[in-house]
Amino acid sequence: MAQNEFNFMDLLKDDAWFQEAVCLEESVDCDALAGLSWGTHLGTFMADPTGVSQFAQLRSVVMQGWKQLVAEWNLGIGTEAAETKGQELIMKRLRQPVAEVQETLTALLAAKLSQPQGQWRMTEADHVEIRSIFRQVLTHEDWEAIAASVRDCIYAQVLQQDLTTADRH
Amino acid sequence: MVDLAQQHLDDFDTHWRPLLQQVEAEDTFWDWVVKKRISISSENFESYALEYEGMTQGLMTLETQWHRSQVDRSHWIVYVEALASAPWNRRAIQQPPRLRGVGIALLLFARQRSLELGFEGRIGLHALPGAERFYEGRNMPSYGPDPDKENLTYFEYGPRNR
Repeated sequence: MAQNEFNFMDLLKDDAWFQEAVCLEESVDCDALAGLSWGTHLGTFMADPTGVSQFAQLRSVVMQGWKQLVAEWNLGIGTEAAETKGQELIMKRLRQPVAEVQETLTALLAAKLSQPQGQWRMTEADHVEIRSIFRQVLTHEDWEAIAASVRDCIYAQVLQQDLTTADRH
Repeated sequence: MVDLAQQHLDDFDTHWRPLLQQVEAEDTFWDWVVKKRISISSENFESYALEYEGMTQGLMTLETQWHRSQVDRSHWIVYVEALASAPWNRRAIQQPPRLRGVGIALLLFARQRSLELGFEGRIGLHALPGAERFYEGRNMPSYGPDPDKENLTYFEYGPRNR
């Protein structure tokens, strides 16, 4: 069959093929969700994919910057806790940042969008810019909350280790 | 499967959103980025809805001009920006789901658009956490976590076997 005659949608009319596909879908017991986690914002995204995908790309750049910063701290078992708590607070603080922060972030996004898809890499200069944003938007209480999340994680790990050791005796 | 219309967005707001709010924390959103939009044509996006019994059962947005294959960059692909079935069709929310096969139909449609655009059925997407097994089950090759997309797992179908 020539490629231009084939139509993927015709497979839906083939009952045997469709039943097999659905059974397979049920056997893996999960849903077909793709794309960034739009959740309740999916409608907003679909109404304006250009604008909202730019938000997603900027969010991705900022989060990459945060993860890179946390990695430099060498927090071991506490790394994931710092990443998660920091991401939550950064998302909140960047909801309506001051004009200066907006301009810096918009410039970062423009630089990313000027590169072909998949080609952009964060430079040291970008990272310096992003770190300065974190310093501007995160409050002292935010930094304390991030530190506490790491502390709690390490504390829990040590206690768990103690219980594991006790179990062996 | 039809082009996205206002009715589908209304269905999302009226019927999908309340159910999603029960199971997902509302994500923070930066409206100011969307308002400042950097000039890029939106002609590269196509959005579709799957309708059944007068209700929107699935939604999908495709990007058709900006993504190259991550396997062989000499080829263009259709990139699935978003793909979702209605909450009542999701096993994680409702057992048994009201309609089965919505994800399968959306994925086939994306491949068909790729054929029509001359991309030979090549499509790529990032699966949401927990959805990876669906794409593995569809024999869609996985290329691991993508740091550029919040470490979501990237999947890509190659050209349709001839």
